[in-house]
Amino acid sequence: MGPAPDLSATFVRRALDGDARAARELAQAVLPVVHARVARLLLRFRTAARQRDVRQEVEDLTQQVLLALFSNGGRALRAWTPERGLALEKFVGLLSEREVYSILRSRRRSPWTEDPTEEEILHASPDSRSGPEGLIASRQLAQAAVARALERLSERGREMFQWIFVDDRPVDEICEITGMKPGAIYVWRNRITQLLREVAQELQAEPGGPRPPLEVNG
Amino acid sequence: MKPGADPSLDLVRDAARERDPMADPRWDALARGALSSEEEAELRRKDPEAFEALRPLDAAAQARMVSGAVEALLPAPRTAKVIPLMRRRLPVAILAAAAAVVLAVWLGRPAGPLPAYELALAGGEREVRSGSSPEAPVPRLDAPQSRLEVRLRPAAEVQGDVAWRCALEGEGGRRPWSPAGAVKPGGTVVIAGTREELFAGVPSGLWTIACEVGRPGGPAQALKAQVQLGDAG
Repeated sequence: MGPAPDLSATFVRRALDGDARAARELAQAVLPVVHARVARLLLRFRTAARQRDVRQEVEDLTQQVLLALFSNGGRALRAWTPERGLALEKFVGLLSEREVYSILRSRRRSPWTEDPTEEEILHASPDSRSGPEGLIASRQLAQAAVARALERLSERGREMFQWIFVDDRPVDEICEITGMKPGAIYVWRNRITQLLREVAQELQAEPGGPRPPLEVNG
Repeated sequence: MKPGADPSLDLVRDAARERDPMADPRWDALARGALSSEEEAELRRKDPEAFEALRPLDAAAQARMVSGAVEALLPAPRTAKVIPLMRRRLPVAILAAAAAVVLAVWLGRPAGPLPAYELALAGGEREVRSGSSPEAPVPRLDAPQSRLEVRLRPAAEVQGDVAWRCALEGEGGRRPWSPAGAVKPGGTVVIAGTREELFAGVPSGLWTIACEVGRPGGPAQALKAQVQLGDAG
């Protein structure tokens, strides 16, 4: 394997336009990105992936995603333009997640019965949230609240918690991966912040449970 | 949720990251093969399943995947070529002249009868395979981006020209189906794409992919497999 190629728009275009050597270098360069995203998503949602040997699943899906990126004349990769602000690696990562998510989603037995309704989406907005502001003000309470909230969330809810609250992913990125509307993401955010509020209140009311801290934001 | 917007949520995020074994950025470095053996050993101890998923792909797997991607992008070497079974009518004189040329070429190539072919489907939104066997499970495609790969695979390597065509058979009868496909070295015909690419305008329901494969102008083998197009497309 030679030195990593400069993943510029010119190089990518040359690879997609038929330069076999550049195409090979491009595939080799994005392969670890695809592999890592596929594996991370599978591990995050292990329930959907548990039916098979994880290594075999990772290799099969990695190959499938790489093929999807390069098939049809590399149409998916041709959509990348650095002017939009995403480096190629990040763009490829996003496409990989979308592909894998679509595959995993289809395997679940009760897909999305808890997804927000049209009415919920209609009434949701980026600002219509009632969060746990001020209720969770210590590390100890946050740890207990997160543990309890995760116990109560469905797999779908845990996905949303991870993307929205832990990874700080932009709403449009989550929409890109999941195919959901922004309003549905806002509904999930509202539901989870409400749940955090509830569990924080419960924990504070429990004898011997985490207490409101003396220190502020400690 | 941008950091700092709500201190409570910052605490929630930090607490969630503390309990998340995958938050360690070294997992990505592992996939790139950029860790020392000590670091690899540490990650293996930390989460054996994640290590198994993210340890670097071996050279053979990388070569296979890269070659597959390049082959998908660029035309394969022309050891065989696709010839539609349906040909336009041509004047007799041209046909006669062409026949003479074809005969001359034909005599020099190993293009005997084709071995038995099988039709295999891979992909869809379930981990299934389908094929000529009637008890084979049926792949289901719901989302427009769901991928399906149709392979017409010979029992032994094939040299020379291979012709093929396919149609769809459903409750309402038979309809033409002309997806883009390629004959790979060895004679396997591969048709691959997403639901929206392969089945644009095809109503949802259970469809039989009915293909024929043979030598140009010779007898054709009929092969069938079923695919379910869900309502979500």
